[in-house]
Amino acid sequence: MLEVQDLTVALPMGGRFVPVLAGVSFALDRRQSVGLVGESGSGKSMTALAIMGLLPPGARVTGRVLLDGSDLLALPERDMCAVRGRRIGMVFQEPMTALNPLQTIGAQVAEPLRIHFSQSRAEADATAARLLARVGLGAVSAHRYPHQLSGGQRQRVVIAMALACGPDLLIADEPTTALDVSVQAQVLDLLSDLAEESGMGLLLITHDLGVISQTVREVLLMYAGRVVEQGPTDSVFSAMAHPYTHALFRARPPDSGGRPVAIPGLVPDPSHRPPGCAFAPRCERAQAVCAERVPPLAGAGQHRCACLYPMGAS
Amino acid sequence: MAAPLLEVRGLVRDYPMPRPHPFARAAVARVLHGIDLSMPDGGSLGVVGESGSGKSTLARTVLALERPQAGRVRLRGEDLFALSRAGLRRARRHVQAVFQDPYGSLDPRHTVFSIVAEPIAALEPHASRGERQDRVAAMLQAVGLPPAASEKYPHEFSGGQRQRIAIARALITHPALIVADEPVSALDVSVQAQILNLMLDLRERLGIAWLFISHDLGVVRTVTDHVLVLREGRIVEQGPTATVLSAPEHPYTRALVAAIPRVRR
Repeated sequence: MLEVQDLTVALPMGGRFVPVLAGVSFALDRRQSVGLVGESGSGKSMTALAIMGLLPPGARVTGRVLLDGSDLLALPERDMCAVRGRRIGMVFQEPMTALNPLQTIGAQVAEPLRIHFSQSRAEADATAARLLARVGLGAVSAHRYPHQLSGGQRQRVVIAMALACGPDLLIADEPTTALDVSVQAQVLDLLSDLAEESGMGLLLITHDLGVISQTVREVLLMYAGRVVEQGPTDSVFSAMAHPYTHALFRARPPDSGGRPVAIPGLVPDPSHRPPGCAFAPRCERAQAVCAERVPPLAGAGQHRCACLYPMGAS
Repeated sequence: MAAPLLEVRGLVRDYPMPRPHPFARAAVARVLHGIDLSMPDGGSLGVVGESGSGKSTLARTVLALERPQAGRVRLRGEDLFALSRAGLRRARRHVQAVFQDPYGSLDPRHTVFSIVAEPIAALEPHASRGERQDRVAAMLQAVGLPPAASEKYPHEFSGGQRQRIAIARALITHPALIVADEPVSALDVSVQAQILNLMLDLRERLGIAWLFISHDLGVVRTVTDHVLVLREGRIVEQGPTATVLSAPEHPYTRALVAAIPRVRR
C-alpha cells in the first residue's frame, strides 16, 4: 500500500543544501505496522513530513513515496491536500496544540467529514459521535471543549479526527510522549486495534525502544538521517546487529536495576556530519575504515544492518 | 539520634478554585492530603505518580517555594516555615533544585559563569570574586563540562549540557539535598543515561541526597534506593525501590509497573 523508495531530503541552510535524510526505504501494507526509532536529529520525523508533503519550503527531495502505486512526491500541492487527512491520517505528540481550544470536540471530529465528504452537519455530527465512541470517549459529551479533557482523552480526540475519513495510512509521531505511562499503554493498544480493525497501515514514530517493541511488526532504527538497522521487530531485538541499536538499548535504565551505559558524545548536527559512518565517532567497535566510507544497509533476508563490524561478528 | 536531613510531617496543600460567581464561597482543591516522609543524609528518595498526583507541588513545598496550609518541612531539624527571611535564606544553601526544562530554567542573557555563580551571590554575599571563580571552575569540572564553558551562553549548549549547567548551579553552595523534578524527561535516551550516571556519581563522591520526582519508574529504579508512590495527593505505597517495583502491593502501583514499556527480546 505504502512504498517508500530511496527517500532523500536536503534542506537549504546557510546558502547550501544540507542532507537530512538519505536513502530511506520501506514498505507498509494494510493491517501492518512499521516503526521508526531514533533520537532527536535522526530523521524520523523528517521521514513522516516527507511522506505527507509537509517539508519546509525549498527542500530538495528525491526518491519515491508510492501510495497504492501513485507517487506522492510527483503530486501537485492541490492534489496532495486531498490525500492529507483523506487518505493519510496524522496524530502528533502534543494533543493540546493539535486541537482548536475554541471549538467543541464533536465539531472538530466532524470537520474533516464536512470538508472531504461534503456531509451535512447532522450527518457529520452523527458520524463524529460514532468515532468518539470508537476511541473510547462514548461517555464524554461531544459538546465539551479540549481544556475540559485530560491529556489521554485529548489524544483520543485527535485519533478520532485522524480516523474520520477512513484513511489508508495512519502516521503517529510520538503520540504518547506527553502522556502518563498507564495512559500511554492504552493509547498504543487503541492505535494497534484500530489499524487491525479498519485495515489501515500504521507508521509509528518514537524515541522509545520499549514502545516500538510492543507495538509494531517491522522496525527501522535511524541515526543522523540514515537507516542503520531494519527488519522484523522480533528478529531485530533478539539479535541486535548495529552497535548503535545495542548502545541505545543499553542506555535505557535497565529493567533489573543498576546503571545504564551512556553513549559518549552527541548526535552530530546535520551540517557537521562526519564522513563515513555517522555513528563511528561514538562507537566502541569503530575502526579507521569506518570514518572513510558509509556502510550500505546489507544482510541476508529481511533483517539488515549498515555496519562494517556488526555485533555478533568477530 | 541526630535529626534526619529532611523530615516532612502532615503536609497539606490547597489551591484555590475559580469561583462560579462573585458571591460564591471560595472553593479549594486539596493537592496534598497530609504527606509524611523522611530522608537521611546521602539518601535517595523517588516520588512517582502521574500528572496531577501532587508530586511537583510536594517538590515546590520542600523547596519552600510554596507555603503549605498545614504540616511541617524540617531540614536538619529546622522548620522551614517557622524561619525568618534571613533564616530561610541560610537554610536554602542546603537545599537546591534542578528542574525538567533545561531550556527554560537558564537565563539566556547570562553567561554560564554568572548562572552557576548566582546562588553564591544570593546566599553567600561575602564570598570573594576569586573564591567564586574557583568554585565555579570546580563545579563545571565535577559535572563534566570544560573550563571554557564558563564564558559561553546557554544557547551554545545541547539539552544534556544545559542540564549539567543546571546541576553545577545546584551544587555550588555545597547543598546536602537536591530536589530534582523530572530532570531527565526532556533528554534523549543516550544523554539521559549520561545525566543519570552523573547524579549517581555525585551522590557517591559528595554524599549529596536526592529527592527525585519522576513519572518514569525505570529512571527511578536507576537512581533511588527508596520510593514513594503518590496518587491524588496521598501516598499509596512506599518502601525500598527494588522491592516496590519487583513486588508492588497496591493495585495502582501494580498498574504503573505493568505499564512500563519493556523491550521484548
